[in-house]
Amino acid sequence: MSRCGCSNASGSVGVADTPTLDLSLIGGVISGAPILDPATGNLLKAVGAGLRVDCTDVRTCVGNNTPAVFYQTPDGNADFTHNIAAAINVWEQVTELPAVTIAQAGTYLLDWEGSCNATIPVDAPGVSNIRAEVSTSLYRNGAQVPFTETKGVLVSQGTPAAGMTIPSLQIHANSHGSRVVSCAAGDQFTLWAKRVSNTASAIYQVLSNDAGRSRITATRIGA
Amino acid sequence: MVSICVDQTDFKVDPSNGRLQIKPTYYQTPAVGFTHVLSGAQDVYEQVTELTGLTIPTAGIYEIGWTGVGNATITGAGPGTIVAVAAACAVYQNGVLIPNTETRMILNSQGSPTTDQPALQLHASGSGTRVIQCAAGDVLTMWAKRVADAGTTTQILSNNAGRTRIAAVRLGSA
Repeated sequence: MSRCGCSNASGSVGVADTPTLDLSLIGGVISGAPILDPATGNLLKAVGAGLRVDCTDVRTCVGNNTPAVFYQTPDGNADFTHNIAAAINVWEQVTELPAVTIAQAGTYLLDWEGSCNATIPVDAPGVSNIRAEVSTSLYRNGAQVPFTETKGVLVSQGTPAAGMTIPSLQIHANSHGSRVVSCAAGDQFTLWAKRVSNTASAIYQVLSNDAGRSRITATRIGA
Repeated sequence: MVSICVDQTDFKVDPSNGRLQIKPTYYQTPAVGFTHVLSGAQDVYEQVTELTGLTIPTAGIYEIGWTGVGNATITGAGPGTIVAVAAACAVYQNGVLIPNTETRMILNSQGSPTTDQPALQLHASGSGTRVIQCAAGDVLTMWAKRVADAGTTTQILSNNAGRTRIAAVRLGSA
């Protein structure tokens, strides 16, 4: 290959850059250097051995070590005992449990747990329909999230025979459900509960203490 | 297509086309069978040693899920005796309670009878979810406690009618 003094039909040699190649003609020597688009997002780089893109560059670009996005009711939330006051089959908010607010829009796996107490009073002979039942549910922005109604506990006493008085019975159990929900930024999730019986002197509660917490957890699983 | 990438925490390479794929990282306890009688100090969590600790090899943010199957049995109550029995479970990290994981399994409490009452056995499972940060090598274990009067039996169980378990799914880096 000629290094200098080359001639073409018109008698001179020139170089012409392309969008990807910067050519130079100095002292009869042609040299070229790749043009790397400087805009953000271009992973291509020129190193001593040539052009190169490393796996680490790609992983960093597509989001390796992606920070987890999640929201949950805080540690150290005060213990509470929430007595359900609403009428039978009417949902009410368990206001003692703080709302969980979604800051970043996306698709979330929601989990909720309510620790429930259903207690029936003493049942006298011949008295029927002694029952206590508590259910929990997840609400978003004050509206029920469909399919989140969750059984906490039901206790129901049959009618005692003459001369048989059945003592009161208190049952606590945990309700837990999961649901995938598409969320907008600012969505607020709260825990609600209801009672499903009209037995006088029965107790219907949602609790949170060191023998059983009520909680809400939201983890972002995608866009 | 052979991958030269050595650090594949969140991604792996599809060998058929070299493309990056999301790599799920999760750990969970195997199916075990046991009956752990809770007979220690009242209202004090004790480790359920029959469920082997779950080791987390990769640091990061994890969503943990757990279930404990409890048995709270009143073995009998005589006239004038109020009898109560309760079981709860919780998840510990390196021997320390993870806050907010305390979970009610079952409570069984009977008012004062006028005549002898037969036994009443109740089983139920309590489960929960929590997002925590783990360091490489952290060990998650199941603990349980009782608050129980005399004349009761309190247990945490695992069998093919209900398993006690812990699972951890890595969500990403801290």
